[in-house]
Amino acid sequence: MKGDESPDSRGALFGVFIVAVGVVTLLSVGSIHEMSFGSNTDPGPRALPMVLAGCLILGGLAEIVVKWTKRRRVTAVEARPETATVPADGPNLWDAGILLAALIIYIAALPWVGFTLSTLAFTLSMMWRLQVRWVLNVVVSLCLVGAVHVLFVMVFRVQLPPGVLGLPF
Amino acid sequence: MLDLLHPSVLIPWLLAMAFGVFVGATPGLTATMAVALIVPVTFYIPNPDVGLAMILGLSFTAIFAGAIPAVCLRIPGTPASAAMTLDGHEMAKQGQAGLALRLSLFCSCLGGAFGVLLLMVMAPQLARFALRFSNYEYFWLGIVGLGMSAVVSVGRTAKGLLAVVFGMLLATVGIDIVSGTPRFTYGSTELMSGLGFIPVMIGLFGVSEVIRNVLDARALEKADMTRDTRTSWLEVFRVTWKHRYTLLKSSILGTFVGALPGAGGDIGAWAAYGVAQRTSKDGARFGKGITEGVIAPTSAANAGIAGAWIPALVFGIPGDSLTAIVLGALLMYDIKTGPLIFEQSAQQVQHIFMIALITQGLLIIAGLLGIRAFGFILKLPRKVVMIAVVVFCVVGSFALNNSISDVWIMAVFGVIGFFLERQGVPLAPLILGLILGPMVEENLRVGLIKSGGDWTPFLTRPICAVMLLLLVLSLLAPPLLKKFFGANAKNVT
Repeated sequence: MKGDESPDSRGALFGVFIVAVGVVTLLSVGSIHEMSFGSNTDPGPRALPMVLAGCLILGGLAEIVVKWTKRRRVTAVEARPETATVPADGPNLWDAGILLAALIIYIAALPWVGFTLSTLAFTLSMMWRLQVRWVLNVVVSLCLVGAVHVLFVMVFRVQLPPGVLGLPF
Repeated sequence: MLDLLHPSVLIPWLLAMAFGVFVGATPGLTATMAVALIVPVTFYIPNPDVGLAMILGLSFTAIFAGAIPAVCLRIPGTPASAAMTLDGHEMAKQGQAGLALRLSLFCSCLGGAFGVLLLMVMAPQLARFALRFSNYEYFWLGIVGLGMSAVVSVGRTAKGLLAVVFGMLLATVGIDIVSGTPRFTYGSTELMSGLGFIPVMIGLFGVSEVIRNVLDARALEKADMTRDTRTSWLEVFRVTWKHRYTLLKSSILGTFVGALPGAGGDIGAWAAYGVAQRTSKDGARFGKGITEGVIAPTSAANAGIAGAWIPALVFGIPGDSLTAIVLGALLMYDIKTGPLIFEQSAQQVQHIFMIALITQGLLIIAGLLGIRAFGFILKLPRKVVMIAVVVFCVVGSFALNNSISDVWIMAVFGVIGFFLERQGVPLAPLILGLILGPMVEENLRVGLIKSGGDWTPFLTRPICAVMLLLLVLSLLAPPLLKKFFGANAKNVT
């Protein structure tokens, strides 16, 4: 599987996404409570989202149609070997997936484990995965946590999540 | 004047500017927040000149410093520096980070100085013109800004327009400002205040960049981006002189937009970028790392800060949230803003002007220190920097409201931003839709309430008509010109 879409599929997927956003918006607009103030000429809180959703659906459909007709015209181009935009050794899908999973775990762990431990776990594991030398990995991770603590907690007085352990640093 | 150069004034002034560099260069911390933090400190200083110097110095420096991470990491430090992620970051990718940063610093100083000079000369006249803007004009101002962002963005205008609409739709999440009704909150109290602009921006620009880098093994193995940070000042002067008219146009536009209450430097920066692209001979190269794309937004952003002082001083109406805090500080110093300020507090006003002007010179020192400090961080291998960026994205989005929900929003928009960029959709119009969406909706609805549902004032008021014409021209001119010149080229061949 290749991470890069062919130039012809670019936009078609965007069109589908935009249509989906528009449809979900239109379905949700009904839940907005409309208040009436007698002779008020305010178009109301539903008006703009409905107009925007309509624009998204029409625009998204146009994107799909344009890309579909273009794709049919350039089938020959599609049959060519991989373009230069894809790295020779392929995209790092595995690393990107791990990064996203690690980010989700990191954010979910923040309120429980606290900033210090969760950040250290995230940076150490991700840099290990990306094959950063272990000395640099440890030094950077510690410096990063220290720098964030000094800058945000001591200078800007931001309360970072202490977690259940309530670590003071 | 000499009083202002006394060490007892200069030292706290420079310290405040250094603080501004840190705040501006840290995603998630805004210039407004920094001013809010420093104002209570200034109350303990008996000399009002010191307090005013600290506040003014900090505000100008923080706006410039936002460009440092925008250029190096593609994470705008402040909303005003979002436009710098386009050409500034592209220049950094081409090994010209040093030139982009120094150019940004120099043009920030010149734009700021120009804005201050305009403030000194034309404050009353400009403020009077700005007050002619009512809901109808503000509605069109927002629409023109959105239209221009779609037209000037890299890629197809249609995708840019769809990104604008998507951004405006995202801006409708939360309590409706006119009726007080919750929209698309799905029972979540966190969403009542809407999608935070800062977490969305950090996600779209920061996290998406990290994902892209991790996905591309070769990009991740590349050396740092700072290999030419030793760009000579001669080169900076040469480039600035070459594009002096862009600088002048952007500074004037930035001051004017900044003078419109509620508009601020970020809209000025985007407007200047759009105008620069429209009027440049190299318009097609915008977004690909062109120096004009750095000069225009950066000079307009700092000129916009000076512009925001025009209605603030003359009418007591703040041009942006930053000036709103400063107005409170002025009252503490017994400086009453309003039409009589030039008579009742003439000396203090002169001091404010001089402080703002000298700040532009001091900005070079503070800015260079900031660039050097940031350059040191970027000498680390890129994969290390990318992981550090994720941590700063998380902390930056959390810091604004101490909210984990904002961090989730940042992560979700990081993925959305990555997906949209892969599909060739420009992110800048989306961000502008999110910023200007509430302004457009509020002014449209309040305007309609005022006119009893009549749309005529939106079209017939002179300034509205001019802006409508400008919008139509900016949307229709490029395809028509392309068609015309394309046809001519075909005839020639």
